[in-house]
Amino acid sequence: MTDAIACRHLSKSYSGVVALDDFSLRAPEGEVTGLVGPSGSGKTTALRLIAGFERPDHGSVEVAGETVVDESTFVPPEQRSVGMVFQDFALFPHMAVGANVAYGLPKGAGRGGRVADVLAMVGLAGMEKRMPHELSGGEQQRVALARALAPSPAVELLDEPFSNLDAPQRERVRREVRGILIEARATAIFVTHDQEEALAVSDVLAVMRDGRVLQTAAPHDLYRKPADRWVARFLGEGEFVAGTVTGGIVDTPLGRFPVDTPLTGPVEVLIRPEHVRLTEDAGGAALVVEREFYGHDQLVTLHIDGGRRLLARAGPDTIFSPGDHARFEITEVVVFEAASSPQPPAPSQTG
Amino acid sequence: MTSAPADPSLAGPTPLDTRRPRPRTRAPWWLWVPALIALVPTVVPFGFLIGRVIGEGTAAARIVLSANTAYLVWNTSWLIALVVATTAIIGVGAAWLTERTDLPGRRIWRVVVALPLVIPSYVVALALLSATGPRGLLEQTLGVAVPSVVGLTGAWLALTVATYPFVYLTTATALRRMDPAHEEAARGLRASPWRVFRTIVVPQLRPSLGAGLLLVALYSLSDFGAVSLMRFDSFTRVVYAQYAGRLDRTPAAVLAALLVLLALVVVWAERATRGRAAYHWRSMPRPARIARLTGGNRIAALASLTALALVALGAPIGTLLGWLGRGTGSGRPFPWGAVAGSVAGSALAAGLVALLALPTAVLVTRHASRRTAWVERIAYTVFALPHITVGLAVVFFSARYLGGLYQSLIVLVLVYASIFFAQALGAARSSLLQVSPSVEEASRSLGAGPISTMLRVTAPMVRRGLVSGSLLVFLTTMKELPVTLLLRPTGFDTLAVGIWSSADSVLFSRAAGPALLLIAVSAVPMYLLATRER
Repeated sequence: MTDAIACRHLSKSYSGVVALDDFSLRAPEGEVTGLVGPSGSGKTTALRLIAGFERPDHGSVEVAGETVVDESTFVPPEQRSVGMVFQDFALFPHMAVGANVAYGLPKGAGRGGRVADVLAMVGLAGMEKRMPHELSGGEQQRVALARALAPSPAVELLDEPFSNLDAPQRERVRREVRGILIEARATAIFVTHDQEEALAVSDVLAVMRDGRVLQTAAPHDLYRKPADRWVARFLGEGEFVAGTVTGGIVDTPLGRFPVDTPLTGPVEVLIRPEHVRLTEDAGGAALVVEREFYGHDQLVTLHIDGGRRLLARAGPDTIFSPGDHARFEITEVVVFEAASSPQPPAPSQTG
Repeated sequence: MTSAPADPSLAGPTPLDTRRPRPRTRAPWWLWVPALIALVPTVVPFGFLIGRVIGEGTAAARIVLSANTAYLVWNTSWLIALVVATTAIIGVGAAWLTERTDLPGRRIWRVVVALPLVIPSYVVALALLSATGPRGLLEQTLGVAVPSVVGLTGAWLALTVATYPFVYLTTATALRRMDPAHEEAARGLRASPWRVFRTIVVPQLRPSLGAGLLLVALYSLSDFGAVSLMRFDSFTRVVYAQYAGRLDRTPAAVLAALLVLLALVVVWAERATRGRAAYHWRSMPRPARIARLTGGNRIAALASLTALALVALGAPIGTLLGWLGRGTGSGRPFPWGAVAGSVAGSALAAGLVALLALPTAVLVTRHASRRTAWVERIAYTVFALPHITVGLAVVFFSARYLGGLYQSLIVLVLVYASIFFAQALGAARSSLLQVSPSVEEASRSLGAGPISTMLRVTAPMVRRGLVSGSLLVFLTTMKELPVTLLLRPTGFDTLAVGIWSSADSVLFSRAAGPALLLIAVSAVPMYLLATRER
């Protein structure tokens, strides 16, 4: 598999503030690569460097094997084979949908046909004459995608593409966009601060923090085997306890669990809420202190042994109310080197 | 599938937090060219003028310290003080009546009260001069001897009528946007309406009133047409007289430089009285409480606005129409050449400004930096400089260095564009700020280069601002007098110059037609601007 994009050791700072620090990323052809991280982690800066809207201080970018920027080269954005879908969609407000989509196409006979094809691909066949302001947010989003796809660039860059949509639309549009990208066999890099969105949309996901990539892997592997505590906490809920590994078994105050790790000795153990199975039991060891109900499931905060906190995810059918007692069973844990850096932020109280 | 958000302290920006300031990129060098074309034609000659005055040394000092200069400063300050005081009373009073009372016909009054903005000060002066005095219109039609209105009184009246709309407009806007909650709170604390006005409304009006009065003061200081027609020895008139009447041009240069110094003093004085309180305007406030006018107050209010309209609009236009009626028999041809000159000069200036303002607006917004901030600062400074000084500076500079270009249409149009550049730049800049830069980036990533992007994407999106700005430039160039007088090519006539020269030689019937035409032509862009803003 070849790489559509290869970023090597990119760094960029703005008046002394480091936005990107030794950033390296490869985006395999035909796949959706996600970039996720909290705000200020440098995701958008990375996209802007790839698109050519800004110049890196150091490092290089290759698009489809051709160097577009390094110490001695700078190819302006209009000469890179890179399409961009912006957070605010950035449709040309004075042009109809057809003209927006045709903007990046060379003048010629095939133009109208290509516009029609791309619009059909995004489910907007026959909408050429509409003006952007007449469309819903989701439709504008798809026009923006169609416009970026029309010239068939080597890579599509999507900058927080779903954040301007309201919650009910969001999941649907997200699925549609992923479907369209797959159908177009497009290579895409997409940026989000929403870890759930990142896990759902990406084939490969890079987690960023403070301008650096902390870990790159398939979403499933990232979630199951985060490289450090910070990545683990960023991607999902969970509680940490101290433990000791001996011979493939980790010993914690909450029990002994088999683990697959090369580590031995003192470790930190992450317990994800979905790995805590909860059963109604008036004589159980866990005291329910809080509950957030989401419809399809619920997140229950427990106190064990009169103080230790544990989170559990339970199905929607059993009602756990504060003050109830329950029995819990931990099915799986993840272990980390003790006090592995960087320190995650203090666990927040739910609610 | 997880649905609970992970640790919220780790979550990124909220979905709406999309407008974080974008890092600015350095502008390509060629984007500076239009800005330079717009500013160099006035900045370089002005620098030359200042250099020359400083170079004169003791000769300059002698002129500055002479009794004549003290007399000029006194005259000019006195005129400014009178005009500022009168316009403050008229402007605030009219704004209060049209914005905060149930005056009948408020919508129409708002237009009528602002309308004198289209009448240049020298046209008001011409009307005054030609209506009063021996052989004036009043004496000719009514047979009553009315004393001539000239000198300080004449200049004061003409400038008051021409400039009070500045105060009216800024104050009315402030009254409209003021949060009524403060007044309600004061009323709730049992303050009388008059005390509320004095202690709550006036202090909140101060920034806008100050801005309006600053415009009035700068206008009165820089005005050339009205004071010279009224033969009142303020700075501008004497600078021109020194230039036109003497071979030694040093006194004119020194006085012109001193005039700029006075302008700086005015600006500084406004800053110094601004006060320290911060006022917050609501963008969409509730409408303010409307005072009900009863009985006598209602009649008094209507009577005073009617009187204002009669003096500021009716009298000048009536006088001009009167002269037009009498002048038809004199057999003089209508000055079509002046019309053509005015329209051509203004249209060229407006077009050039539009061409230069778009790339410069891109420069100062999309590539904002300390250096681009100077472009804006200089543009606004040039705009505020007294035109007679700019005109003289260009005359001295081009006579010395440009030889053949001196008094050519090219120089004239370049200087017009330079003086009024700030108007179009401001308008283009504010509409560009409303357009997300990502739209231009989208164009770039779709294969369009920077110039193509500017023409195909940026220009259409900021078209409204650009057109409004150019209209404003067209309007102000039309009325421009001192620079035109100093720099016009031989044989090039404009309406403004025509009015000025025929009034000077007391040929009122000849000036009436051009004056009315100038008012009519000025009213068109004014009308377009007013209807666009809604």
